[in-house]
Amino acid sequence: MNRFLKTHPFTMLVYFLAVIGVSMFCNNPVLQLISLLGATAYAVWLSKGRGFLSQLLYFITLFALVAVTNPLFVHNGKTPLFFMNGNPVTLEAIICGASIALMIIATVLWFSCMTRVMTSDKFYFLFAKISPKLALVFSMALNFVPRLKKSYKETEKAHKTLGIYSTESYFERLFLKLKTMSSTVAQSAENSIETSASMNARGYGEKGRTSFETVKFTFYDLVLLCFTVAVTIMEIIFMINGATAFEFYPTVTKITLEVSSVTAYAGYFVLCFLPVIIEITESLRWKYFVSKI
Amino acid sequence: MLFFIILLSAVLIMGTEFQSVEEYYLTHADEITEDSDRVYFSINCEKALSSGKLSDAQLKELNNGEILKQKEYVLIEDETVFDVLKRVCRFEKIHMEYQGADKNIYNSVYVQGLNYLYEFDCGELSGWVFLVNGKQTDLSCGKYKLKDGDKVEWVYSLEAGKDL
Repeated sequence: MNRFLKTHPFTMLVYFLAVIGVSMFCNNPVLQLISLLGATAYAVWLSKGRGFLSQLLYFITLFALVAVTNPLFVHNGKTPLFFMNGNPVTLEAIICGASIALMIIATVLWFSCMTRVMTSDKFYFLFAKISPKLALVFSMALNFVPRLKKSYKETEKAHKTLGIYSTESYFERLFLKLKTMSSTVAQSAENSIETSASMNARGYGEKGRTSFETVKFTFYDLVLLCFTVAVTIMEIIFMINGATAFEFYPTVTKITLEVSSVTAYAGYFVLCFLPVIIEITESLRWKYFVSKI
Repeated sequence: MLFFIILLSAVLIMGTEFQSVEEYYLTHADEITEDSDRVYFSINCEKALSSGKLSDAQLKELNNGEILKQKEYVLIEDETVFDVLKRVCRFEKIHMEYQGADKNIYNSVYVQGLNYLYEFDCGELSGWVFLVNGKQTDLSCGKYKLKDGDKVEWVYSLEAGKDL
């Protein structure tokens, strides 16, 4: 269930940077789709399927918005579907918008997986020896939004019991949420001053501050790291060579199944699904060992 | 909330003009009679082919640089270069993309691309330039009014008009 969480933070960081980097810099829709599927699989595993449908609705709305925006402003492309104020809305522009939307959703999902797996103490462990101040900034930045969300929920509950939300009108309740938000922000500002004073007193940000960590760089981590780096270098070589090159205008490149492009897609597929593969094999092994007791 | 969204989208939809592909291209060139004014129009992009920065798909569309061979068209009274260009592209089914409005007081239209060849495709200074009777004009294409017998050439320039 948690095997990927227990890998060394350095391997984890390199893995996420590699996957997100390749997904961001390559505009091939097949790679984006693979990245999206891998991110969805791992996100579903991490959240154990709870809250999946509401997230799905949110992502479908985001996809529709971004995919529709591109054809409105870009009129390049050979096959016009209809004309709007004299400018053609083309199929190529819609496909390009869909590809951009896939990339955005894949990146968002990967980052949400990363915040759940790569906690702030792991970040601190990685960067403390190099630059304690950078480690501090990273860990505080990463923790900021989840902490703000939790604090907002608590303040909202308190305001409800105080009777602030006792109006029938939907718009008034919406405006009262702003009031709750402003009090949350004020509370977080005060808290940050206290937190910084306490962290300063405990010596965070000083060089030579040690903390007890039970993290060891094992052979398993080394193997994972080498695999990630090898696949990333292979993808970069394929990108430079043009095996995964993709153009939308004036016509969409046809996706051919040559050896080089199929290797690129297969390699990236294994890389993106690596956490899920690791977790599933470890669960199966656990079940097997337990059944033998 | 829903009401505002519906209102906004209704205003936007009423304000834009939707045409299907057949409707847009359903124009016919006016007949050239004996006493009508005429202009000669051509679109050329030979310089872009030699720059080597175009993709294969774009090169396929350009058929060796002559997008439109020089042809005669009727000139309606007080038409600008851009009006003729729009009519010609509609009639000959050439893809054109422009930026700006040609009906405001500045007549500020800028032609970004013709036949899938866009500005900046061959470098930072590349783009479409129009010549009237062989010379570049001081006015934009939405403002220059044509006279009988003018020869308009749209040429793709690689150095902002200096290499023509």
